[in-house]
Amino acid sequence: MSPMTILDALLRRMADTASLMLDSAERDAVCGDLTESGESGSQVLREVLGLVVRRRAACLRGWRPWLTLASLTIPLSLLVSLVSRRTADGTAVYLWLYVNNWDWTLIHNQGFWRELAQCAPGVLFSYLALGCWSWTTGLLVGCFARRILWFSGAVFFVVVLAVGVFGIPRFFGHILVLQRARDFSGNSAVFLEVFYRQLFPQCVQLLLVVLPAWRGMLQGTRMDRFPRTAHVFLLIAAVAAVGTLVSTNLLWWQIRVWDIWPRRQPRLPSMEPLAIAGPAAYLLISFVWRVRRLATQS
Amino acid sequence: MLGEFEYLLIAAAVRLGEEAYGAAIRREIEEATRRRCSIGALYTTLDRLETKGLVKTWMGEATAQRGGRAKRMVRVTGKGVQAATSFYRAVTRVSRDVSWDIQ
Repeated sequence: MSPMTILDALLRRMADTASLMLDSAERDAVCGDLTESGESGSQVLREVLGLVVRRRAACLRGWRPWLTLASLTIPLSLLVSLVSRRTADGTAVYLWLYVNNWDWTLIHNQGFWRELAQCAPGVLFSYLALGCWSWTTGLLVGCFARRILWFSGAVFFVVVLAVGVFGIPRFFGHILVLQRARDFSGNSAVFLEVFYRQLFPQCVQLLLVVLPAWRGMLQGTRMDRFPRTAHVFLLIAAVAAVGTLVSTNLLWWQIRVWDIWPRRQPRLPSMEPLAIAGPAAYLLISFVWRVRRLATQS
Repeated sequence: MLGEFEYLLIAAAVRLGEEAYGAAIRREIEEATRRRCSIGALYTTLDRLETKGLVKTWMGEATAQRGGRAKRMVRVTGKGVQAATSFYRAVTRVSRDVSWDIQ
């Protein structure tokens, strides 16, 4: 087999894969037309990609996709990135304390265990809350931007990546909580380490933002399989969870949660425990739906 | 008013009659214009014409020549014939007394 034949077969295989992005009827018609016309592999790939691009671009016509992007995808990705940055920095301090200053004699120290028992639940809950928020934002993006998920998903992850790498303009500091553990001089020893300064936040972002959000997006596109009442219940839970994501990022809310200033105003509760509302509702609905389906089948 | 490519597509479909489907229409257009016709342009224009009610499309039979894939068959509706006729008349009228040889 000559190299040209191998290349041609490879390009045809790529065109076949690209054609999966088309509707099944259209894929049949287009692939059939290209087979009939006997075009080369490169031409087939170009034609298929051209149609895929046109179809995808057609979904962006009108104001609805842009409204979804501006009102849902970008703000949520921004908020979840901010929480990811704060969570990574906050937990990096504990990690540095325990890992970088490890001493085997500590395991015989009662104070060590008491301190660990006090901080570990908080750290674990902050990871859980971040994962739940990411999944919930993904679910909402997948549900409301189903037809342009490829685009919304890309924008979501680009914003997350951009905030992770470049940060966020200081201007937002008037309304959002931008302070992180690294902004306090007492923690400077932790963030002198490249791992905690650069790598650890990216790992947290990948594991607790990108992966759960991607999963949520895919599950959001398949929400129609649930009955309408379950659908509405899940959306209410997701909106409640996102409400807590907003509150945890709002500067004035957090000032009242921490009861810093002004003293005369009432203290507000931390809404973080409600972060699990979205995934919990989804698990409940999936369970009930499966049980009902099994019952009807038998 | 139809666009130029929309007119070409309708005219090719009318010429082909019962045999009008994606690949055949594409061949007709390429032969007539002596230019490449992309699948993307063809299928998105077909969708647009169908939305306007100027053509009707449906999935036809699969043939071995096409690797067992079905054809997207096309039929021009009465409204499509009307639209193509008025486009052709407009082009004819606007070209009256114009001699392209002198340019």
